[in-house]
Amino acid sequence: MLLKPATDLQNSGGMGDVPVRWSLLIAGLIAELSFLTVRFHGPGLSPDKVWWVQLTAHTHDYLSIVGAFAGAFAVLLAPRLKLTIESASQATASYAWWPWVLLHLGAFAGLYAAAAATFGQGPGAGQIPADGLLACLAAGLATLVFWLLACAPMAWWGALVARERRSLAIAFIAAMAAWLGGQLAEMYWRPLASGTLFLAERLLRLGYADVVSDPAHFNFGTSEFLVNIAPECSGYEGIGLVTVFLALYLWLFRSVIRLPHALLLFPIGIAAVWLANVARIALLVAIGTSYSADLAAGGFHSHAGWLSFVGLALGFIAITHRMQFFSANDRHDPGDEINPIATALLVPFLVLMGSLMITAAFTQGFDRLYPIRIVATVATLLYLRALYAQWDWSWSWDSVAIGAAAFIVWIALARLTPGDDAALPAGLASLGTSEAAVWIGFRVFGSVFIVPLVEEMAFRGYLLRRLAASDFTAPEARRFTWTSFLFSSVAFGLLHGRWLAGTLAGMAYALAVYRRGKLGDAVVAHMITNGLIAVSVLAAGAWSLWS
Amino acid sequence: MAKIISLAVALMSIALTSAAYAVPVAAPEIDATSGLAAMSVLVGVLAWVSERRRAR
Repeated sequence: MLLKPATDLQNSGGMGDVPVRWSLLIAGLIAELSFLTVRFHGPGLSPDKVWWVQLTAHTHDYLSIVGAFAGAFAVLLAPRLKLTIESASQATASYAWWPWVLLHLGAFAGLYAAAAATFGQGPGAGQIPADGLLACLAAGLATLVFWLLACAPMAWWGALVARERRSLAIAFIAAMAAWLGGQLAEMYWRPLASGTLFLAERLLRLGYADVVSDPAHFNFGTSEFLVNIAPECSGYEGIGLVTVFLALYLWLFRSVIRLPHALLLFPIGIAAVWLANVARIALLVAIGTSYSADLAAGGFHSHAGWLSFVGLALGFIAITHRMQFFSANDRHDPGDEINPIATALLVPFLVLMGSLMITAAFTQGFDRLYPIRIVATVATLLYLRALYAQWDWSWSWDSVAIGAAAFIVWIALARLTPGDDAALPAGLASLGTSEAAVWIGFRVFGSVFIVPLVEEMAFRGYLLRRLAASDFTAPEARRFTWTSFLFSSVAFGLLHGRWLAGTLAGMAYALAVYRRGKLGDAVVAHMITNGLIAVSVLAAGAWSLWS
Repeated sequence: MAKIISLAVALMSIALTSAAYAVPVAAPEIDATSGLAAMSVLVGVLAWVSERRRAR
């Protein structure tokens, strides 16, 4: 039996309640920022406005830089994250943090009031008063300082800055470089777009005789389907994504990658992703001309870019692991292999996600290719069946109750934002009667049996345990930790359309697996939830739950 | 008091985020329509290939 019972459900001890408190405070700050950015809009750039008004027009840039800085610092801090949280736990053992939360909330209320008075008239509404802007800045600064003090005492922050000054400086440089790169790309996208247009046009001429092109306005296509190459389609978004991915990947996996050889991947990756974008645009016109204009402009246009990026990134991972020129294999014991338990837990999920991305690129509106990904996932499960046969899949009746409770929460939250119950039946009506019956059969089978199994193996079988211990098969990986519980549940929720209901459901399934340490409990709970949703769809006509 | 404040922060986060962005309607399965799906594939593959052990 590979999945052993839980041995310790206690908190890890060293971190105290800091992970929970910090998670809540970070969630609160993100929510506040989201609310402010959606609620209020800057005045927009205009040469007749004074300099401080011009500065407020760049709020989006400031947030981008702060986001990139936080992300880069998190990556650099990752090896010392546990140590950092433990030191915060010690520093806040007898620390009254909640008065700072009250002050933070008060300051945020002040910031909201100041922003409403200053920006409340909507975008482009004349000049902004200097005193209003100063009030916003003061309230914003107070909101941030009180938030920091709610997280930990000032002395702890001082020690953190002193210890991490190098990482902070690198993160700041990386964030500024990312922002400057974006600015340069936006300023100089035209030469890139011209090259993209030139090559895409040549590529399209291989299959079509009636290619039309207007380089001055970046339009090209055929007599039946014409596209305009917008700045974001010129290729720089892909170049930015590949550059960031390679920088992160080479940094995080530097122990198994041969440097400086692997730095060659930067020019290779940039050229490859640009060529992939050229192929995407040519294929977009081909699909629009020969198959469906709606599909080309809808599903394919939005998904093909992500598909090519993921394909290239996976290619880089493969060659840095397999090609001797890029791989530091000699630093590894040749007797090492990928843990087959990780393969069994993760590969079906990766196949499900990969096939989902591919089918999404070739459908528009109604998800008619759903059966394909279920077939691909079932084939993977069957291929790995010998591993699953060794596991303990026992379950308890309590997991049925947990699944039913998750269903009630899901439906309650779904009722707050009712969906379109007519869209999916309209899509089914476009199929023949027997085809529609087959599609519904696959949807029920996939939704109730396959997807819960695959998702639970990935999120509760692997992620929940991997976040609790570096060896996810070790007994200590089965203990309860706030970090693994919250992070795995939020990750599960974010990947579902209904992020809040998804997070709460993820928490319920995690609790199911914590009770006895059996993955089977989480799988059954998830199957019950999805089964009851399927009943709601088919019996009550709540088709939006499946749309 | 600390627990009440924690609860208040949690509820405020949910309320503010819900107010800012309407909760999207989707099926109870993973949504492929965002870059998050692409990132999850990459992170999943990286996690998978990093899980090495002594061959048996």
